[in-house]
Amino acid sequence: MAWLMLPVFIKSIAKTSFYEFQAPVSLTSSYVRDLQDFWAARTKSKNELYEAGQGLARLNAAYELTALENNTLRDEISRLENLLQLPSRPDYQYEIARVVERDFNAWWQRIIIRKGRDYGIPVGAPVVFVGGVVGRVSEVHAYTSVVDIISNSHLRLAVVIGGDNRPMSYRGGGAESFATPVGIAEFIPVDIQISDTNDLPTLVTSGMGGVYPAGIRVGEIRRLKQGAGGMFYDGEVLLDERLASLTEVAVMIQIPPER
Amino acid sequence: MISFSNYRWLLVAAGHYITLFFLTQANYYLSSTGIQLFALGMLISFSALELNYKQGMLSIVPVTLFIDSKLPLPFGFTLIASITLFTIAHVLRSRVRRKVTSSALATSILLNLASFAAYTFGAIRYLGAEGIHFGPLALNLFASTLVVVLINRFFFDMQIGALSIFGINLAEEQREAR
Amino acid sequence: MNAEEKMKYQGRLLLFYGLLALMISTLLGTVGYRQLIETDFFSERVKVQNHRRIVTPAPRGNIYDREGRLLVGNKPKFSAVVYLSDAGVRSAFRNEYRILVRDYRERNEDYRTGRLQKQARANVIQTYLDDVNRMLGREDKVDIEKVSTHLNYNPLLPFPIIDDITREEFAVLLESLPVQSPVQVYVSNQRNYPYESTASHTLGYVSSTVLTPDEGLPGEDLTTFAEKGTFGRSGVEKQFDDILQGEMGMEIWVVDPYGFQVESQERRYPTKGNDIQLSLDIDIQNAAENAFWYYDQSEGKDKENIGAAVMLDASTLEVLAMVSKPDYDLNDTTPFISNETYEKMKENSGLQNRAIQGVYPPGSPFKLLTSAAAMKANIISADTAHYCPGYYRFSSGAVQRCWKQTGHQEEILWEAIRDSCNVYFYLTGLDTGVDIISNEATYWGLANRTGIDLPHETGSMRVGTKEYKRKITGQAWYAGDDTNLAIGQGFTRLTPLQMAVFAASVGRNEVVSTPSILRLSPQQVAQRPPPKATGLTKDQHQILLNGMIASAQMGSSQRIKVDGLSIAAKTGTAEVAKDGGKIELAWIVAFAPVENPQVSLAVIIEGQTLNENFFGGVHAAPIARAMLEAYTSKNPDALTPPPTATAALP
Repeated sequence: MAWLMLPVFIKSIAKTSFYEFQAPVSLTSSYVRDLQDFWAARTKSKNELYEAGQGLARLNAAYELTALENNTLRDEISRLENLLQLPSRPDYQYEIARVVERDFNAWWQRIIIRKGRDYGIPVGAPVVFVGGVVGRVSEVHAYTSVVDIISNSHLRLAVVIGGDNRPMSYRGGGAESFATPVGIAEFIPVDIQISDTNDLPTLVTSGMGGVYPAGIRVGEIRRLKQGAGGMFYDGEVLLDERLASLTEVAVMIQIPPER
Repeated sequence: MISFSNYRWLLVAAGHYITLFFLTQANYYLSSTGIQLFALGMLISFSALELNYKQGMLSIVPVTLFIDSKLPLPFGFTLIASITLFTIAHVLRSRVRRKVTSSALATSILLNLASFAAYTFGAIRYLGAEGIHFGPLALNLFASTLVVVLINRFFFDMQIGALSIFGINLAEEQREAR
Repeated sequence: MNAEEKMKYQGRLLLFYGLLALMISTLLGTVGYRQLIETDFFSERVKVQNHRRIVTPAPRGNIYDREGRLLVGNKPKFSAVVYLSDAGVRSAFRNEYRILVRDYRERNEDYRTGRLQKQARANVIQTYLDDVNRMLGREDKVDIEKVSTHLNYNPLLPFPIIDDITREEFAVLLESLPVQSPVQVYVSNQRNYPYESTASHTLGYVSSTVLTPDEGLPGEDLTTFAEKGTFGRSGVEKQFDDILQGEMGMEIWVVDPYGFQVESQERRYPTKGNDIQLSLDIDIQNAAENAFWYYDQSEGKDKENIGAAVMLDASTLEVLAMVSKPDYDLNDTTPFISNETYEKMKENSGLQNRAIQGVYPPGSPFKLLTSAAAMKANIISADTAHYCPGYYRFSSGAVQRCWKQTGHQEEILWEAIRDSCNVYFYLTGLDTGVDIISNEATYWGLANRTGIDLPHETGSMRVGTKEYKRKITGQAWYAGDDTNLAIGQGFTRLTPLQMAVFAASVGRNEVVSTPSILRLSPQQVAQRPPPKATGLTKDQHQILLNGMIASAQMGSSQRIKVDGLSIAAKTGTAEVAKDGGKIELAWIVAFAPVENPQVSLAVIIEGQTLNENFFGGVHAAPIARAMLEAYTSKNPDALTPPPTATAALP
């Protein structure tokens, strides 16, 4: 009872202090894991490392080529944008962060990452990884941040089906057995059909909602059913399974447009 | 040595915290399998069965606040739930033959089940029911119970051992109390 | 206490105990009765008292053209709403009310509870709206009366704070609003017309209203709140409303004593209505509608003709196109018709579907019927010749002119049809008489509705008869009435659809009826009412054809010509009196190909200026040609080498 009567600010101070007090322990464990990886790499034979290095060099060359291509395309896009006098799109700066803790259970799915206020990470920033959207930053601490994964039911995005421009709603749907994160899509137009189970409609961010830039992969619509109003389908969305075993993510920090 | 006796809650809390730390590390690696280990009940069980009310309570409070600081539930949720369960277990402990390992295990399992249920209701209340599925709940509960079954005795022994390093002999105290 | 007193006392005690026992047993009995026997009744009453039902309309079915192209569908209408049953909203209402009361008390001012409550609710809703405004960059304000009315009548339905937000705004709100907020996005549906004003009269529009819940929907005895649905007001939407309306959805809620939702008990999703496929071909329809536009040189801008056009499949009597001008953009009718839109729709009787509701004197095309009647009665034959000096002089001395002032000289029947010679038909009409002609017209179905499956087909069509004239004017039938009747003037009034059906009958030499707006299956075609024989011999029929073919090739209808298509057509110019002058009406009826008619059509254009000359061949024929071209471009099998009129001549 006494606890309930406590003022909110005291609770919030208590929460922060308890969190920050033990944060170094989590951080240390994360660094220890990195160290483990390092020593694991040290045990590899020279030949193996040499081969890996060669592989990387090839990849690098390929990426350099792609980077060149991207530059040309970017110039072309900005030229066209200027021509059409389009409003400038928000630019993002990527903060790559290691995952410290994974809290991935039946009730909620969140991760703690190793960058916080020290890197200027804001609450609400979108977080992505190579497989698409990870989630949104829900808490920022001194050296860590908490990221809610998009399988949480209180996370909602405006999404579109790739190649379509009608926005629909995506909501987290929790994790199913054996860590398969799922979501629920609503307001799917009824002309969307699942004809081929190998080629499911892919949901990507719409870019219209103001939080996520357009075109980042969210998941695939696995099943459709009649929606509440009779006008749309609701769909089950299959998210990337790698969300349950993330080790590194990128936080997108919006750069205010230049005046 | 007497001085440590009054601060044994601190030793127990530290033991609890270390246990939690190892569970957290385990959960990091287990997350890709969809299993998350949860053993809050075991910690409450030790504090309730082996310490007196005040010391037990003091040992629970910091640990639960640590947990709370990382949860998406309102701050204090684990604290209140744990204190409630701790009090119930403490009141009922006279009916339990404390020295018998199986009764300590049963208490741990029951408390773990109860706190698991409390979290489930909390999650439904504060985060919504849409994201909660029976399958993973059952899986997590099963895995957690299994872990409690496996490590409960070890955990109790470790905690008692740690206390005895600082000259606190729980078994003797209990005999004397009788 | 002696024994007697004791006895007395004990007696009273017994009585008391007895009474007590009786009372208790009554009480127990009643409780038992209620608990055991009347349980159902009471639980039912409890249910009625604290259960409410929300009924949601289903989306209407789609309407497709004969090739499966979507003519009418649904589109989502996004809005931002506040769920008033949310506990947070209600406690905010109470808090705001308390603050307002405190303010008034501090200022020592009088206040009225009801008004303050209204104000408090509006204030709270405004704070939610402000949040949404901030997200969307808008500056909307809450209407205090709307909030209050909504809370009084529909407390269980979400209150719309911004109606009709764009898709982009919808997306912004999806990402910005917390999932558990009482403010949410809401999607209802409204009719969508991808072809805008095309075939607007035929398709019809819908109106939104609170619909009566479907029978058999659970919870009939409960207090019900129904969301607004739509019903067909005109055209196909009205005619097939039963099919297009789906099955309503419903949700039964347990409510608290204030009438707010506590828990959903039962839910059924609405089911979309059935789709229907029309016989319309949107390509032909569009071609016809586009052909109604012309360039007005005096005003220096494009203008649209007023009139109607119908094209039928001559064998199945399916309607391929049905135009009525002026029309309206159906998208303006949804979600509701504004006063401004309604006024615009009403201009020039724009709400009227002229194809089935406009009655016009049929003019020269009626000469075909006069010919048929006269031939069947053996009053004229193929060789009957009449001399046209350009006028006809009655015995009374009165003169009635031919449209060609110099006269057609001597002509036989097919030539008179080709040239549309009035004098020829004055004489034929006089010889034949009103009774035979009007009976024949009735036989061809011209005096009655066609029976098309569209609502509001007029019943005002008529063929001039003696009785009708007497009834209307109180006068007897004169010779001048005969001559007028014979050329389709006078008392006869027909709809464009009737004329198109008539053209099909002439083409097939069978009297057909009951056109259909629905795409018919072969089975349905087989079940159509059987055609009647016209009673014309093949030769007699050929005379009509010859006249029409010649008219289409070299006569007054030649602007209808489509390369490679054999067409039989008859133009006409009718007149109606208006404002002391006259308005001319340009007609054309036609069918094609002549040998085996696939389509028949009728077009009418209303003159817009008093006393302006207007010719069917000039004004109506190009529209008919556009329709035929659209048809043949999709049905090239209709094209054959054109038969020449001379080759068919005797």
